[in-house]
Amino acid sequence: MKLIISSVSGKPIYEQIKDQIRAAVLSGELAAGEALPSLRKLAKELRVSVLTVTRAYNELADEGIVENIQGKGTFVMSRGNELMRRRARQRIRRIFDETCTAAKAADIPLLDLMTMLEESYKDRP
Amino acid sequence: MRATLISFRLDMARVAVGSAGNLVPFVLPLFFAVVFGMAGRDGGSGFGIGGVTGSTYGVCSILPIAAFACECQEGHRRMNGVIPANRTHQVFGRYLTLLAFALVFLAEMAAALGVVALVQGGGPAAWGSLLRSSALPGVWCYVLLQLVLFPLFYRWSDVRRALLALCGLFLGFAALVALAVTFVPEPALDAFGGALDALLADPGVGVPLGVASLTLAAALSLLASVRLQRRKEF
Amino acid sequence: MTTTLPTALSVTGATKRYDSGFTLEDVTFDLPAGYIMGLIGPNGAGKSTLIKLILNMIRRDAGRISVLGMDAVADEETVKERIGVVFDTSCFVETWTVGKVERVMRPMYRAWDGRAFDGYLARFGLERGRKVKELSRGMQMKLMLAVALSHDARLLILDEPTSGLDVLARDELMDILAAYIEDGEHSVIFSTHITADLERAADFITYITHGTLYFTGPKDEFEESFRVVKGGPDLPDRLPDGAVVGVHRYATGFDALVRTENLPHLPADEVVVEPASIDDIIRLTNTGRTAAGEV
Repeated sequence: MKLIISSVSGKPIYEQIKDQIRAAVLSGELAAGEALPSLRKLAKELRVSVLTVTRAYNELADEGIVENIQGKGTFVMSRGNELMRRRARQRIRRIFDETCTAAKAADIPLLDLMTMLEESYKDRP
Repeated sequence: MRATLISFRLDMARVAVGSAGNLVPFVLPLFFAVVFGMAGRDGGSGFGIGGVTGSTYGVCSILPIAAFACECQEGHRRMNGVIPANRTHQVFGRYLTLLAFALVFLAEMAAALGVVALVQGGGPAAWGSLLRSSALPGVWCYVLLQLVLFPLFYRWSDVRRALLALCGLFLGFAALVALAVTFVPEPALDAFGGALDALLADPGVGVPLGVASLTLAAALSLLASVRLQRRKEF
Repeated sequence: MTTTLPTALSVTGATKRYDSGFTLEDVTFDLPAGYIMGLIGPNGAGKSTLIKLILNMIRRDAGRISVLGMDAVADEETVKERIGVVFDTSCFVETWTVGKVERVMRPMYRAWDGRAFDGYLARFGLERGRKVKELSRGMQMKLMLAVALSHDARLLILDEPTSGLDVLARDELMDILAAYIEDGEHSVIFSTHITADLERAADFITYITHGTLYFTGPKDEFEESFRVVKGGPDLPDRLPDGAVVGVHRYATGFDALVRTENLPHLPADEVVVEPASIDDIIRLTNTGRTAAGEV
């Protein structure tokens, strides 16, 4: 797994670690059940504080992406990947609900709405 | 015990800085022994012994001073705060070095007096009598003086000020002697001196008395040094 | 996971009053085992005084210090076997050679590891025949570090170790320290005024200024509890009372250090709000005392 820390990005280091691990899990680079590097070892390698890595791991665990197993280490949750997808779907559905409510209130037909969505989707890389 | 030994070894390492060049002064008393021994061949041996004692004394006095001076070095001073020995044990270690230096003093005296006996053509018997009459009192004086000096060194980390204080003490002592000579009637002084001489001339009395007086002095000196060192800040 | 281990260093109410008038007042903090703590503050703030108190080199007027669960004064000898101490320059006799330093130090520690010491000498390029006084400041520091790391010390106490070092040597030191604490049983307290050393590797920060404790806690928390607000010259007077911890004014504007929880809502086109670095915090808590900081 690749992990790069920038000291000028303005983003806290624990966030950088979190984002990159989350992305690696989502892309399947880190498979379910796979162990993350031990937090003290990662801290040594990246030359960052142990507490910084601890915080990143703890927050990932709170999100349900990884789990800490006492005395063994930190592992990618068996369904961490699936879980994240399901969460994304839920979030999108909520946004759609709001969008549809707003569209109906403004009398925008479904077809127009779909065109708008298509444009918006294509605009993103 | 271990901590005292650690401090002792550290002090010896402080004193034995450098190379064989440091041993040169120890040849000096032997050289004096040859010169004075030859000069005193016609019977003036007291003169020669004085020179030998004095030079041995000079050489051996540097040893403890070196330990104290070394300890005051700007960077090295902090070493006392690092080693696994507390202040009391550090003082014990320092006093243990005095025992070692006393042995060095005795060995040096014995060697120098041996040279004197050899040059003057006396045998082992002459050497033995020289040892009794000069080496033993010499060691006693040396140790006693160091026991007075040690607390002064602990009080004033600056070696020169400690030596100055010692001079002050000597002046005081000299004044006391002068007073005694002035005010005590002469026959009484003579009687006291004579009795003391007679007492010390007997090894059965002189040696235990010497050991006892040194033990007492050592106890007092150690107590003072420990108290001073415990209060010190590095 | 390190909770079963004793606290590496615990300082409670440590106080030292010098006749000169300088006082280190009532300093309290804990360093859990397995972490690196940076001890920071401007020169003369009391960092060295605190380290001398921990080493029992000076008498304390009040408080308690325990090292690896043992009393720093009552158990001084056991404590000193288990700690390694590094100063900015050598504390060995100047005329000793590196080899003699080893011969002197080896018998001092029961757990002396000659092979580890050899390894560090080779790694640092220290030759046994060289005299201490012939070594540069950085090399003298490394010699002390080699001794400190060769007797199974559980706590390293470093007093301004990087002040004589170039970037490469400082980097190497931080590498060694990171490897030293990796197993979670070894800890480091590290006084420095070069905060770049701490910016990444330190877990905890203890910040002392004018002889008093200003902050102690996780480094991230330290940096996150402050923000730097920058703006035009007339603005600082409009910042709410008590919000500004320290301020530096100059002809065209100001830098103010503000506690994050007191950060006022200010128009974004008039001010810039930035995260505070350790240096910013030290700088602004020491310049702004007479301006808006008085509460």
